[in-house]
Amino acid sequence: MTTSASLNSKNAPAGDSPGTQVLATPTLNVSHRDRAMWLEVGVEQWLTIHRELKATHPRLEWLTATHLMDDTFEITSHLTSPDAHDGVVIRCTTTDGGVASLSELFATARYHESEMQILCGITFNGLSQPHPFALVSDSFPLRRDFALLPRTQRPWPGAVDPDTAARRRPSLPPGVFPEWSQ
Amino acid sequence: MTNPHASIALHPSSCTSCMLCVRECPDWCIEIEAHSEPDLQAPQYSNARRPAMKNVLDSFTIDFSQCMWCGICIDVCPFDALYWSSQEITAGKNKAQVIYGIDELAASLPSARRADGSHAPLLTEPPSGRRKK
Repeated sequence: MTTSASLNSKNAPAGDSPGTQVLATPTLNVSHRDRAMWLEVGVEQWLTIHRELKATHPRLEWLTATHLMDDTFEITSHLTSPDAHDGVVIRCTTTDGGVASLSELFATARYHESEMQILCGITFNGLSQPHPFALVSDSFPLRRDFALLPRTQRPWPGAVDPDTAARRRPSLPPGVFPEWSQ
Repeated sequence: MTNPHASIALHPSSCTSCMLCVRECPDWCIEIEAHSEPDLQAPQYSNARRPAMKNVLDSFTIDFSQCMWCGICIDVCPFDALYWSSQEITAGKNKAQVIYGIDELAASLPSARRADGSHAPLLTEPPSGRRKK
């Protein structure tokens, strides 16, 4: 059985390669979509899963994060295999804004983690030398509570109602909160 | 090879100034100026509280320096007034040169077509999507 065949099967049996053994763990939430395998893992498994999967998927394509609320983030990484032409998307949800760094496993993780650190404010434990960025901000632009000030400085063009005699509730710009202008 | 999604064309007489495209645009790059006036062609009812009004389009501008070619305005237009056009947006020396008004948007109508391949009506043709009375 080839590596790609074992990864594309939903219930992969435990084989010789470490990555296959990880994917056969019954506690993992595994799904298939967008021509890739998706793994939902816990924060404590984040580094272990990547270390095991590196044997079969040595390339880290990207790593990104989504702010859900407060200090809760959804962190996603995409590992690919250049030989087998398949990929694994690994996702975990952290509730304290911290997760283990992958920079010791993948060289490209340093850039992506530094980016998410400066844009979202996530703490990557073990990221010793963050990549320097030119973003000058006292806040984190990709957090949901970040105020988009240009949206408050320019009037919304959709507020115009051609029929001025009609009594309608005025339209409000979507995604712009009144707290931003305070 | 021409790009079928190079710019956006407007069929002005199909536009009812409903403001849907303006409100749905994520970039706020569409601006409409319009006014309402009595619709003389509308049926007159004796119990009408006020005369039937219609919107008249005064200006329609798309700022192509902000547009990200998402096509949401074309999708939401209920009157088929907006079309994809194959006319490229030429670079301008300042921002005013890439803000297209009604005349510039209607000039690319001959190359405009919908996703199903059907052509946009010419300016001399009656509007395609307006409701029938």
